[in-house]
Amino acid sequence: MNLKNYLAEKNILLSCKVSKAKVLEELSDLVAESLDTDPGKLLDAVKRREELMSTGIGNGLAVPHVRLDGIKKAAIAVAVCKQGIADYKSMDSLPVNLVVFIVAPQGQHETYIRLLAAVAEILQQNESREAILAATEPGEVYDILTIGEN
Amino acid sequence: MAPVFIGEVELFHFPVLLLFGFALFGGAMGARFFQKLRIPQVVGYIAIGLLLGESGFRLITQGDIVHFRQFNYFALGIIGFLVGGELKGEIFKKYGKQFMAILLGEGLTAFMLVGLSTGLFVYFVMGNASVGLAAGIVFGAIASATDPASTIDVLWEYRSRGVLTTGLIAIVALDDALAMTLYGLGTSAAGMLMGNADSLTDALGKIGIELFGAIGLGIAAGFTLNFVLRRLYQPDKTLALAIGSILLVIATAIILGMDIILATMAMGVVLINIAPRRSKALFEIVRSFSAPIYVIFFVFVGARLGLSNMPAWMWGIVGLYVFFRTAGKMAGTYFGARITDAAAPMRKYGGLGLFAQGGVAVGLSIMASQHLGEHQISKDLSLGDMIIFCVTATTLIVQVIGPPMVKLAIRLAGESGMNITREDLIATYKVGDIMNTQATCLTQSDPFAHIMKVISETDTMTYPVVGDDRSLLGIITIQQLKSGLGNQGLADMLVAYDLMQPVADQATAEMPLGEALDRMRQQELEYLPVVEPARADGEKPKFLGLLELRRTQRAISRELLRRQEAAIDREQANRIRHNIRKRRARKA
Repeated sequence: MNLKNYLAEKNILLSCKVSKAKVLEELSDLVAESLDTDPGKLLDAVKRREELMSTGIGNGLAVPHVRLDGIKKAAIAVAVCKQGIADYKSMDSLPVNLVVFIVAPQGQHETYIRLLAAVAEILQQNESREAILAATEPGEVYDILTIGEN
Repeated sequence: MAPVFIGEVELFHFPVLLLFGFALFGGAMGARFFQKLRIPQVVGYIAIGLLLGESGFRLITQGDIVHFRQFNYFALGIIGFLVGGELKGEIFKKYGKQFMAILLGEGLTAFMLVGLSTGLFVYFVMGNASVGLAAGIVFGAIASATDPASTIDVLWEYRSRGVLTTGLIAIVALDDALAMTLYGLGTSAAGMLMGNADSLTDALGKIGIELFGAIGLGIAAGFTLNFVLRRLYQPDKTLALAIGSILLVIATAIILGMDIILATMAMGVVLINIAPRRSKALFEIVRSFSAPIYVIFFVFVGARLGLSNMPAWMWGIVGLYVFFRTAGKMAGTYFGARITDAAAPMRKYGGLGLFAQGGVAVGLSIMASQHLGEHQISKDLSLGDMIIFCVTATTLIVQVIGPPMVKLAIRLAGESGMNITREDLIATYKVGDIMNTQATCLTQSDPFAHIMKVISETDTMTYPVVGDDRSLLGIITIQQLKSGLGNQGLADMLVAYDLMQPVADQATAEMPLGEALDRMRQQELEYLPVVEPARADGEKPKFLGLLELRRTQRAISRELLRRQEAAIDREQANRIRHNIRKRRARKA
């Protein structure tokens, strides 16, 4: 799965708010802008999904994701939060340092699952996660997430 | 009728089309009405004919009926051909002796009882022994006939299958030949009694040509059609070839003075026995083509029955005829079946299935009126008129009670609904009858691990996702889950909400199953969620169950098999019982 088609450097934040609500709002705005859709609608959809089960999957990682009507392609946004987001309700109850936000069109189930799988595969590796947290430029994060795809 | 024009439009043919339209539309509506009353549809066709014809509004006149005589021949030919298609060689090998005994039993007993009673009655009324004897012989001969068309129509309508059904088909098909023989000999004898007529040898010669010639013609046509179908087989031409052949056989039979039904029946018998697989599709096509022809044929049968101008004393003959024909058919069938140790359903209910009297009897009475029309039995009544009046009246009575009796016979024998097809069975169900109400549902917050556990514990391929109020939110299929398998990290991220797909289509419990299956086929769906009818408040309707293609097909196949096995079991049980009785009788 080529993440380059869905991730742009401008959608990578290296300093973010330290509350779950704020970071989701920030990332929704970024993605909505790149997809030319209503940020409020996107944020509502993500919040509804988070109410079902938190997407904080442990090891400081969160992957909020949702399918949305009315968009034509999938998109990814990333927020690195070195201080940690304590209220994310992660599976291991630890603060979240890295948030990867994924949105896909409602009808593109296959793309949606593949994007999730690709992100999970990269971030399951400790080195990748540590390298992202140590990054000082969005381009470094971009390279790590898209490494091996050239 | 002179052609009438309005502008460029010639109206000469309009009444013909109007009559056919009335007959088809009215017949179909009448059939529906009678079906609602659980009376065989053929009675509905005849009732509409009565309304339209001589006894009703006279929209169809005797002139029209004479005009459309060729159409009736066509219908009789089709009926004969389809009946022939039911008569496989193995049936005759297995039951030939029984059928012959029952046929002779019911035919000859009805002949004798009706002949004797009506003959005596006419003798007492007219005071003339020759007229009495002549009338008795002709009435007796006509009474031996059973109408194959309406009998078989009932057997097909109620999807009957079993030893009684097979017996009835074979007997009504052969019954015509017996009636024809008795009639030929009877009219000849009656003519001799009344003065001038053919000698008995001439009559026998005519019967020989009429019956054996017809059989020979049919056999030759059967072999020819099989040869043509084998060489030039094109599915889209099959119907045209079959109908063309039937028409040629009918026309040849008419020209050569042979029996139409017997000729086309022999053709059907040859085809089904020399090329059973190839001809199976052919018979199916002809059968589906025959439905409107049947309707028009029976509407015309009803329309022909005119009973005005009938002298009151003739109702005495009608009463005797109906009573003794019924008694003769029942007693004759019973004894014929008893002598040959036929299975119990044939012995007990066979007679009930042989009441119907139709086209052949009316046809024979018309022929009798031509043969015996010049013999006046009173000042303004000929022997021929008396026969026509009485046979018309008895046909009306017997044709109305006959089909329900056939229905009763197959129901009592437990053979009704045993020859049901997959499509017939589907047509009897609604979605609610067959949907899976125990379908395992997921909620939108169920995590991936839970979903996998549910899947491992159940054997379905589709899982509805429902809200707290059981409203249907989406569907998860195993196919969709494949992409999520094998990645533990991914599994931790997903809940049912992420995996569910919007519902492509849905059904209600009241929807006919056939309609739901059509929709699934058109959209290539493996499942269809069943929900309550749409809610006025716009809320999502509640989930009731799941209609799954595989499960539905399995259920239909199971039920079909059960019915087929029940029919076979019943046939086998009858055979075993019959063998035990036979052994006991031998020991005794």
